Amino acid sequence: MKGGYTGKILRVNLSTKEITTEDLTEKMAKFHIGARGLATRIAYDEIPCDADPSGPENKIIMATGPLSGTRVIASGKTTFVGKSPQTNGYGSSNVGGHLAEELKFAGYDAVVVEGASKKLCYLYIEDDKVEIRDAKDYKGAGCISGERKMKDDLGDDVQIAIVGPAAENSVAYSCISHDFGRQAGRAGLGTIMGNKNLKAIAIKGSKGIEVHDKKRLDKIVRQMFKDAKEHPDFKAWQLYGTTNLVSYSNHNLKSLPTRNFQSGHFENGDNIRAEVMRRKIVRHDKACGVCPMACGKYSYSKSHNICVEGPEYETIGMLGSNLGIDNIEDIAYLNYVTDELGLDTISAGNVIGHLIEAYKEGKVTDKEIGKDMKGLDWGKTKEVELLLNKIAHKRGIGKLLAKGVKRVSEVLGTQEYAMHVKGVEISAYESRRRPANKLAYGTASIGGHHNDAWAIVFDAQGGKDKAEKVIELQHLRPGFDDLGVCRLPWVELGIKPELYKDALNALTGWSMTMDEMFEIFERNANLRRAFWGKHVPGFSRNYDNVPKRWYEEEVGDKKPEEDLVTKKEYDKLLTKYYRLRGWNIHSGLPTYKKLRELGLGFVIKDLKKSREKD
Amino acid sequence: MTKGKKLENILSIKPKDNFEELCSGCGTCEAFCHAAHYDTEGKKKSAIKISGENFPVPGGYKCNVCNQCGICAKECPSDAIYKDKMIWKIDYDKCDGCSDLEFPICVDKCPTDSMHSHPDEEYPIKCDGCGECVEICPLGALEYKTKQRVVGK
Repeated sequence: MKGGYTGKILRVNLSTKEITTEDLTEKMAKFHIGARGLATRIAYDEIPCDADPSGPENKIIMATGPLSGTRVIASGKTTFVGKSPQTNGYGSSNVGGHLAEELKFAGYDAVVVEGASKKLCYLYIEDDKVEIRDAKDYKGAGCISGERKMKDDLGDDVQIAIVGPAAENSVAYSCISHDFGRQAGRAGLGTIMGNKNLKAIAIKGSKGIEVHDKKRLDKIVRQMFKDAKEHPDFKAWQLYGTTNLVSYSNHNLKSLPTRNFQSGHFENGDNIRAEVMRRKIVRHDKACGVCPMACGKYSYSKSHNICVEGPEYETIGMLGSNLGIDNIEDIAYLNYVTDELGLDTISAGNVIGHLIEAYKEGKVTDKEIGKDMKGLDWGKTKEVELLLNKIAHKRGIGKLLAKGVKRVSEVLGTQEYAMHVKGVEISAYESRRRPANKLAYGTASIGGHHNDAWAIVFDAQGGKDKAEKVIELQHLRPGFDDLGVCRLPWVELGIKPELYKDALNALTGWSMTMDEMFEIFERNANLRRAFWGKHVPGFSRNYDNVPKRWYEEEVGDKKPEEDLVTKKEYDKLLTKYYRLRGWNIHSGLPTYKKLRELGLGFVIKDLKKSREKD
Repeated sequence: MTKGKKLENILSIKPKDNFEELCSGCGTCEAFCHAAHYDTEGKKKSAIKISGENFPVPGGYKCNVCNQCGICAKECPSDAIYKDKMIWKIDYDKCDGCSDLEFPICVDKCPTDSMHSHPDEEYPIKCDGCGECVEICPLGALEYKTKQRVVGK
């Protein structure tokens, strides 16, 4: 290949200790682009349909895209893919920071980790030198302190993906942490590492990335930076990052999750908004590779004496308003505790919110939550901290909570307000009056997450073609994951998708058009869906349902102006979505015709086999 | 015509005094430095280096970039570093990369750790004052140290 890609995939088997490399063919690169698309393909092809997500047959694939590590704006994204321990279905999560560039500088587009180690180990990659090393010195180490220790041992120029005690203890929603506070947080990808006894992946590279047409790329990247800097929202993004959304979400969208999604408006939300946080705790900005937006905020809480990256919007929502906590220093502290333990802040906040509500409803007793807890209520930081520790170490009620909100609600009989889709806890956008966003959550490829499509502003502005919009977003947003870059410069600063296409062509020497690129994005979306069909016998449209709470009025709030989206309306929208996609309206899976159209005919035999098990 | 006109000479590139407050660690400066001087995309051959050794506590980044002190020129056994206006540059005809040593002497002796060697490069890497980093830095954390002079007097 002429440029963009390194052309090499590293394969590490932790059972046999075998380490090999293989070529990434140009054909495969052109078929899925890279990063998420490529990792999804490898996961689809290689993980057997009956693989136990916690067993050695599961794999975790870490992949970069052709744009990762270049001067393309915000080119720092790595995607992890595997079979999710939370859902038994498709699991994917991405992380920024400096991991993607380092892996490419080491000479690899992707790493496939298979098998499982008997002893806790870590993977060390330094260009052509790849070793599976003993990690006993890091056993039980927190994500933040463990990364420090590892950098002290290996050097500060090593980039590290690490998991915490939560993953070592196989908590279902453990995250992969990198760069002192960035996470591939969702769908339990960290749990897969934990189950493989893989504590960390440490990478150091020395190489450069080839470019087909340097002059052309130069023009494109300068245009991107110019457009970003001239955008009216640029300064606000640098100052506040995603926390800018807190006020807008709370007051305008009414989508700030409050007390386990009972409402989308938090009466004390102004205490945890962007300006308050910047003034009270932010020390400096912290960006991912080659990103001018610097949405990461590095904070210090005086009252708790801790430093933390964040909290960002999702964490303020899930560990703040969703738990009734209105003190930004307390949220920063809980963010720190959750990061160090290696739990996903979104899932952890969702699960704890659910437990508090269940306790208040009398579904959990004082004895069950433990004597060290003085009951449970909204707005109690200390109790939340205790619960986080119980979850990560699976102590007491933590044993149950570690399984995720779906399982918790099945045990407690509280399914009606268990805020998840397909077993993945819903992230921080209350959406009961937002049809397109509801559809986006219902059909998201990993379950209750907003990464694939985020249509809440589209809803608020009265957008009409909802199913069409969700499909478009589900192609373009993951498309940025496929390219190995962050989507935010496009979402927030209007950097044109065409420029990314031009950059891809300048790097690789291809002459891909937007239409061709969208066809690949659609192919990747269909393959994500097919993963569910292959791995989950009996998969049907019921899996795309949203929680019952999202069909009911808010608790305790005044009735908002907009109408609820009823179950009937949602079902109608879902059917329309399937028809537009070329998916079966009962199974919710791609039709064979659609699969063949997209060059995914090889999937059909797996779907047929899976249907036989129904 | 230029009589009496003030001109600025770039003495060096420097992190601003409040660099620690400003720098986000994005490394855009490194990526543009690397790309301006080599064929590939990357950061590893950048003359400016950003590091975050203070994480997690108290956090913050530090910057190593040449202040054009000229000690490298004094130490160079081949007299391969010369002054072009106010900037010290490597004469690649004279430099042999101290190939008999583990590190070139200039890299070893640089008092600010701002000269680098790279396994794939014959010559050491040194800032030539091109200003790519200053111009692209999205947080405005870098500046030129300049000296003003009046032409014609």
